[in-house]
Amino acid sequence: MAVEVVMPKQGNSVEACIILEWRVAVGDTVSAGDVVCEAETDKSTIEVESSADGTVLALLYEVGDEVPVMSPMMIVGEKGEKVEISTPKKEGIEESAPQKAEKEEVAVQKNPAEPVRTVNESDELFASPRARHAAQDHGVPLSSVQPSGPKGRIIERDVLAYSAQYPSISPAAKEAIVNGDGFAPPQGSGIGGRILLKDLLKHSGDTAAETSSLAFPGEVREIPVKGVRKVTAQRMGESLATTAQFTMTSYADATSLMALRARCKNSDPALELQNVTLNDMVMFAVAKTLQQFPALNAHYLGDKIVEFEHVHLGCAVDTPKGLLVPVIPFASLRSLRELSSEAKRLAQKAIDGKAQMDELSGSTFTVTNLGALGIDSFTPVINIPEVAILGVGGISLRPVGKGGDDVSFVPHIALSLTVNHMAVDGAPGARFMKALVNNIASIDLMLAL
Amino acid sequence: MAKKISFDPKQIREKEVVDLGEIPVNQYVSDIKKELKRYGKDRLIKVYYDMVVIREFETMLDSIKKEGVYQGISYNHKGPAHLSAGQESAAVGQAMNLDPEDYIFGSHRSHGEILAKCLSAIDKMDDEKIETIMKEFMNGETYKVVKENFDGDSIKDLAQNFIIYGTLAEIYAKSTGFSKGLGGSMHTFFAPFGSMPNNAIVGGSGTIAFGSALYKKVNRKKGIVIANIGDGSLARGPVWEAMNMSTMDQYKTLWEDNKGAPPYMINVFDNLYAMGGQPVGETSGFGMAARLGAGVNPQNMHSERVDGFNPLAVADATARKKEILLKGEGPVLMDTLTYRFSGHSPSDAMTYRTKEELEAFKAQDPIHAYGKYLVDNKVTTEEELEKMQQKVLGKLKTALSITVDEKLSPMVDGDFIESVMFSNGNAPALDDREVELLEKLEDNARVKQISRRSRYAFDENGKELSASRQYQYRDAVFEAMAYRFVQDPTMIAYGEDHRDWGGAFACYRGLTELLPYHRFFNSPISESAIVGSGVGYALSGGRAVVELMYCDFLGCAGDEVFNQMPKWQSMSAGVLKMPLVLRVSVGNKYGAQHSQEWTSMVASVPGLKAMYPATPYDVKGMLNGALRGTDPVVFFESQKLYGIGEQFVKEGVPEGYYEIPEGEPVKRVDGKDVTLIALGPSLYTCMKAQKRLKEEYGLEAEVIDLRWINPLKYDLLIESIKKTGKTVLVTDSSERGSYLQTVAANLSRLAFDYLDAPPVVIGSRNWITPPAEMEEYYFPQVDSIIDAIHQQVLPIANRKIVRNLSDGEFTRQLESGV
Repeated sequence: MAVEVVMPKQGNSVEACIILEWRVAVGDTVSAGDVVCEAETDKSTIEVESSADGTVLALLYEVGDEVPVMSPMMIVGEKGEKVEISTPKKEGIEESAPQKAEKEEVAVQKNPAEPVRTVNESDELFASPRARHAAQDHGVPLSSVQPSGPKGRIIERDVLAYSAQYPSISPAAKEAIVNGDGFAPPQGSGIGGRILLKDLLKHSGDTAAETSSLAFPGEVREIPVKGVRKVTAQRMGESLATTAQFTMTSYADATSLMALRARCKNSDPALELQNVTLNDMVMFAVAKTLQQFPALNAHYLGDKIVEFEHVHLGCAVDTPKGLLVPVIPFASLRSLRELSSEAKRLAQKAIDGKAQMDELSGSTFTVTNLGALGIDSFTPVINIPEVAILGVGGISLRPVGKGGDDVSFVPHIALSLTVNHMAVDGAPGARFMKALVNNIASIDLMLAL
Repeated sequence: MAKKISFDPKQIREKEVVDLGEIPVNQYVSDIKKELKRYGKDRLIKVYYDMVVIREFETMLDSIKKEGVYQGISYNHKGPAHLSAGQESAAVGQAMNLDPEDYIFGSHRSHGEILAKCLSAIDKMDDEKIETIMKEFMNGETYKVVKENFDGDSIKDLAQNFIIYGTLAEIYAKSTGFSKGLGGSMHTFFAPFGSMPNNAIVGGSGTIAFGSALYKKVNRKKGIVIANIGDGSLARGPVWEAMNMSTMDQYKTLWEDNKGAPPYMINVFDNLYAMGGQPVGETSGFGMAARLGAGVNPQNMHSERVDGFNPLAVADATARKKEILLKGEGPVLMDTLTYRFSGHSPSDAMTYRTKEELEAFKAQDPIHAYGKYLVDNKVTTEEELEKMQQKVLGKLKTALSITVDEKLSPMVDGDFIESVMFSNGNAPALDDREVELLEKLEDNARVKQISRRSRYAFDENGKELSASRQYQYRDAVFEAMAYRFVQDPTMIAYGEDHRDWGGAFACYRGLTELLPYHRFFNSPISESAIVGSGVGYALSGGRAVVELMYCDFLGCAGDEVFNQMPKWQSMSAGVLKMPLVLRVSVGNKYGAQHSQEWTSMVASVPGLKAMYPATPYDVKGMLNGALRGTDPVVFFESQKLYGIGEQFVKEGVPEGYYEIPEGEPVKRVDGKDVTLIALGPSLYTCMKAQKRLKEEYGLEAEVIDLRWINPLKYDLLIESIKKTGKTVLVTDSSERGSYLQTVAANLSRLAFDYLDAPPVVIGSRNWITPPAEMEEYYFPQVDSIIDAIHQQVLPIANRKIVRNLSDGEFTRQLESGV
């Protein structure tokens, strides 16, 4: 008989988890205790275990979907067993969106495998002083921790177990980072995602191709250059051929950024802030910052440079057809919520291939983001005739001196600014970057502007 | 050897009567010619003067207490005042024939005795000596105030002022008092003139004065020692214990190297009332205190009742008794009849006696009668007496005025009190004379036996040696004791079954052959007298080691351990030292009255150092330290451990001298998951628990042996808790109120932020100790420790609960009082 595997409750305040990765596919055999997916709460990343044995009959959510806790996320049963699913689905994911069933045909057994939380009677949070310290040291929210101590008390080991879900960094890797021999990826390959020396990303490409016994050059495919690809090829080629581009990279403390995002996510839905992304916030900061740096909010037209009073922010979107850059007009005049919803609306249109031409032109500055794909820094190519483009990288832990020999690792977001030297010199570009780094670090203050 | 005193069954079964002989009562016959010849005119007149000083001194205290003013000087005296107006003749008469090196110990009502003894000593000492004493006492602080504000017309006159002022300042809690004001009215004394500590516990001086007499005897010091106690104290057990112990036959039969009894006199200032109760006619049945001597030894303790209303009668009797004592033929019991005109204290409403009785006694006022005697016999004139009274009035007015002056006579601060709680001395020997031994230490059979033993419990392969091959816990006691016996000629040890038997647990086997009787002897079964005499011996300047065979007997020596031993160093503001070690053996297997561990009682009394070693290495090192210090130490030992070898220090117990740093616990096993803190034999329970936690549950317990009780350094404990965050404290003591509860509370306070669970104390149950067969129900077991961790500290996967240590069960026990 098919059973539902539910998204477990992670602490008192967590209401939903975002699926980051499915580790199983329909048809796979799973046993209770097997990790079936990786999910993200607003505070941590967890590995979700199956509570049942059997064959995976259906995955009810896609990667990126938000699953309310205690609700079914996967169905496990006997191989070939037929199930009809009536789980409400999120919009916009057409391929896997199952048809609405009028009625469940298969009785889906409620799985009693609710995570064991030996709560104290009042359900108040009790934690030992030592556990509280450990939580502080490891940045662990006590409300998310499963207590295992006597009388439902959170004790140190609970915090450490929780914290182990976060990537920790091996001493050797730590030393290498401090010495500048690389930087930490968000997740490592060690136990519990521990970042090992070998996981460190190099500042320059270092991938050594493995020799293979395949016949050279192996299978090939021919793809005609046309449509968006062709436009992109022409514009990028022209950009590099006609401008003097150089790229500078900096890192902004992302603590406030992440905190703000968590707050947005947990905010009252009526405020419509729940879908504000990190990239929206960076764009917001860029728009605000550019107002002080008109030289970068400009077009280089060969015989003249046109500076714009308002910021019309180009926003690179990866669509099934290729790169498109919808434009958020008057970005600097918008609130974060407005900017965010406009960006989402335009991006969706671009993805859906429904963007109008005027929605894809007239930008004065462009932001492109590869951070979600694990890229730290890169050299974005200017969307001419603009004079600069900002590449947003991923968030990684970077060592920050705390005085003495003490080093702490603070999340930073990477920023790569490519500037056309024909229009803008290095120093003004760097000043803009410095201001942007500061503004992102204090994004909460920016909101007040 | 006691074996030589054997009993003949035939002889002891023969028909006989006990002939009690006669006890003289009021036999003194007045003869002025004889007295003049004996003392001279001036000395006889001085008796009158001394009595007036006391009367006026007490009158002044009474006025201040009741009216707040004396001769126009106001003062609010907050403390007690137990006055002795009416008893002056008894005190002055006694002091008349005492020399400065004769000691008197007193009671709560001893102002008169202090003054009488000191005034007498001043008369007998040369000026230079007196001046030196005054200048050196307390760095001359008291002397300076007297010299500048209360000078006399001679050294002796100045010395009188010094005594009056020093006593009064002490009574009024001033830093210029003889004990910096820390003793107060009931504990004032001035040792350089032979006035020794007075005691607020009724009969408290009985055992202490005997110990002081023992000191004089053992160390061949000059003088006699008198316990001045009241008739009410004759009902107190410790007084009987001291009387009995002072008459031990062994002084004559066995102390071959130092024959004769300690020069000890019990003098009863028999004022007919014990506060309000009347021993004669109401609360006792002896009729006359002098009779009691007949109950103690064939000499009736040379008992005699003396008419204390006549100072010359008392002086005569005291002189005769002193002679007996100096010949070693004591002890002596004197019943000095007297009467107090004042109430027990200023709050006394005198509901227990009639006005007529009081008036009848006042008509016999000894001062008036003695003055009349002098005038009638033309020794002096009324005018001279009046002049003396005026002089005394003037002296007391000045004394009071400078005492109540807060600038001249300030009080000490709290820091000072703290500074005199312990003397922390380093005294390898308390005298430099040669030690008395019967043989060389190296020739001692026990020493030779120990030398063949392995000073570490395991052989080179880690196998435990047989018990007889191991240097044991009891051997460590012996070594430390023997070492100090050879170093310090004043050191003595006594208690029950010491000689021949070698102590009930064989710690002292070998000392009988090493030491002469007067350094090592059997006491009667008198825990009060054992400890109380140790107190007297130590505060007189010698080192004593006394023993309670079982910790349970602490109750029998309660006053001595809790009120006397801990208090005298600080109550004397550091004038007295207390190099007294009380060995207390904690039992098991012997049921409810022989198996209790009462470290908490000792820990709760300020003024005691206390320790409880668990290994031979610590026993020797810690006893070594205790025996060279100058503080009172309660040294707990465990009967579970006497036969145990050294299991921790691989180098073994050193043959030479060493000490364990004071107050420092020791880590026995390194661990990271939980800290087990043990006191005494529970160390071995913790060691077993540590092993099982590791083998069965993969937990690494750190084991710390507390070994000290007071003082105690917390660094190591805190450091460990910082590491593990968790601690279970294990003690053989009953859990409720145990010392480890104190340690646990302190750790909660000192390491709160590091704790992952509250410190949990696992003690014995709050029951009687059941018989040996059932002891596992009672004492903490390995499973109690593991279950405490599992249920209260760190739930352990796969642990099957053996002992219920849940809150519910704990609460039920608390609520049931068990």
